[in-house]
Amino acid sequence: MDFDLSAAQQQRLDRLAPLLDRFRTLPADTGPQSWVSGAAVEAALTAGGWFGDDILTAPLPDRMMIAARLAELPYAIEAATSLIVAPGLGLADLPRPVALITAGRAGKPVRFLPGARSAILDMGDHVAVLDLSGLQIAPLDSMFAVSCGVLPAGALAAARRVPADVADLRRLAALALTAEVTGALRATLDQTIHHVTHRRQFGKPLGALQAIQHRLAEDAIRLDGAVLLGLRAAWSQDSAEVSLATGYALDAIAPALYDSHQFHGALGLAKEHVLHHWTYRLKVLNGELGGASEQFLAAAQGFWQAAG
Amino acid sequence: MDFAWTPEQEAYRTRLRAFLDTNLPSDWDEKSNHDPGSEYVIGFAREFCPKLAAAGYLVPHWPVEYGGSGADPWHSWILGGEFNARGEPRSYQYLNVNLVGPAILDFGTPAQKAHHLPLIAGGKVFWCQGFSEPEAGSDLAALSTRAEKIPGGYRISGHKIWVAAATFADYCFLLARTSDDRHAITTFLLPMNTPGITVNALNSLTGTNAMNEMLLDGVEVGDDCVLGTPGDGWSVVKSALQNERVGAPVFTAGLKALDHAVAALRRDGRDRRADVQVRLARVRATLTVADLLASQVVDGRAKGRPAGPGTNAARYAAGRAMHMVADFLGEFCGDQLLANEDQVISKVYRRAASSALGGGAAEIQLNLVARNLLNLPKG
Repeated sequence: MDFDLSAAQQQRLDRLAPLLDRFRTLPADTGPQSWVSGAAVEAALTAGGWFGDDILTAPLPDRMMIAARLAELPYAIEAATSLIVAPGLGLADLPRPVALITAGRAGKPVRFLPGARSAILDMGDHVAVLDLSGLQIAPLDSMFAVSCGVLPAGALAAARRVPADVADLRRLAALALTAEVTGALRATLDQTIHHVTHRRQFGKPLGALQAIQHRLAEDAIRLDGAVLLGLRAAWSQDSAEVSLATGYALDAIAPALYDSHQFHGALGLAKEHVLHHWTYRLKVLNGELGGASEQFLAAAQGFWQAAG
Repeated sequence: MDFAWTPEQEAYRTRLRAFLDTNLPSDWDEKSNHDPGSEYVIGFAREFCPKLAAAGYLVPHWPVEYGGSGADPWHSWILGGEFNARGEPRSYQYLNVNLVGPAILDFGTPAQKAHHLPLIAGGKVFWCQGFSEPEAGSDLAALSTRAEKIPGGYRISGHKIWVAAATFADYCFLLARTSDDRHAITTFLLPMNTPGITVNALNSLTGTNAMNEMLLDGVEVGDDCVLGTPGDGWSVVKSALQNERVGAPVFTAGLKALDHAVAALRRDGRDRRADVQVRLARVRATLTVADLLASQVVDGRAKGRPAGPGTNAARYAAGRAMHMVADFLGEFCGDQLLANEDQVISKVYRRAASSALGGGAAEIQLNLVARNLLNLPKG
């Protein structure tokens, strides 16, 4: 076993770092909606070749690392589906952004559907793609920091079956979700550590209080575990391992999310504060792919086969 | 990044399992009760550890000149996991291999190495660890056992507690204070047959001989019993504790207990319940995370890096994971536990009571993670 980044992994993340640094903060006026879609980030990523062949042919764990880093940004940008799901299904050429419509979700709110140029659909027994370029899908006005929309009735008729495996799609979707969750959790934790280090009460930084230290330490340990479990699942590509990792990452959301808001106090409830751009994205991710329960159910049935 | 075992490591594990299959008696589980301090296991280990030594399975990661084979730390990690899953047939000799031996290798004089290391590497000696005291638990540096300088050595008096294996150990890895300065602690390699030592057994929830108190009344030892520089024992302790914190992979026993639990649940069909399955996987995920965090520490060790806060994170995760396994067993395997019919299940359940205490309480680990990993301000 070797837990160090490979030279190629390190090199890519080093190359990505300046781009991330440019977009770590939001513009002063982010508009009335609860999310910021970040056209400038999109443009910079495309210009930097981050959705090009060089990246899309990199090993799966490497692409997970990149997707997780991009999820650290406070912008609601579609990256994980393009980086992880589409290339794994032989659909790297789909015009992006790509919305992912998982089983039974057509006609229901789907992330990134407004503004997406393509969709990948889990049709239950096969995989399909849909060209969205002619459709105008309005974003739902919600409290969450993600842009969601609903596929118009009848649009599904234009879906085109592709020769990809549904099991592959589900495994890749779970890994993409894990990457997004761990990235947003990392940003949430970093932001919270920054806050408790600088915010002083009782004559000392909040972060000097053991009650706060212990909870953040627990959150950090869970997150480090979720990252390793996710990378190992991507490395093994075993369905049960992937479900296990996804369940664990989803489980890590609730404590970290409440702790981060708790330690920010009322400040974190103000919409002008950056925190909700991660936490109110995580609240949506929390329920995706059936949530932790469904992922753990699949994992248990995979590991202890006769348990089904 | 690479999560695979090398073919050589896989082969090593296979050979080791075959060795254990051959050398553990068929009624090992019932007789041993998977209790490393039971009379049966202690007696068994006296024969078994020299066999392990002869086969190269006791200290493979030690230098060749001290009886090892110079293997990387992964080998002792694999060994620890396999022994742990079988109920620790080395008895408390695992302390020698994980904690005492490495400390002597790092800090011992040539004479100390020449005397102690062959005994440990030969599987011929038991050690205990005299750290905690009635008034010094988590705050180990508050210990008050005193070692007073006398010509040619020290006279030690004090009260140690929670000392596993003290009733039958040959030596004690002992900490005592050599001045009033808080960190002026010295490590002693104390022969347990030295006059002035009294050991009283305490009954423990976690196993036989797992806890004793040790009274030291004017115990006189020579200067040659000091490990490292007098007064600088804290460096020895910190290094030893980091080795203890990620000593052996406890999750192998945890995963095995889950497999046994599934077998038990299958007998009455409860394995088909969705809520049971969700719980099972949730526990398995926690165990696997503890495994990965610990493996990352072993990777650092194999690369010769100093121990960092990752060790504390791994230790904390392991303790929590074992609690979760035990919670599952308590909820779903109550009958097996009451009848003590499955030693794998019983052992994991019994030991979970201490799984967030060994190597420093879980809260100490969190303090160190907060300070050294998250860089939060000191309280």
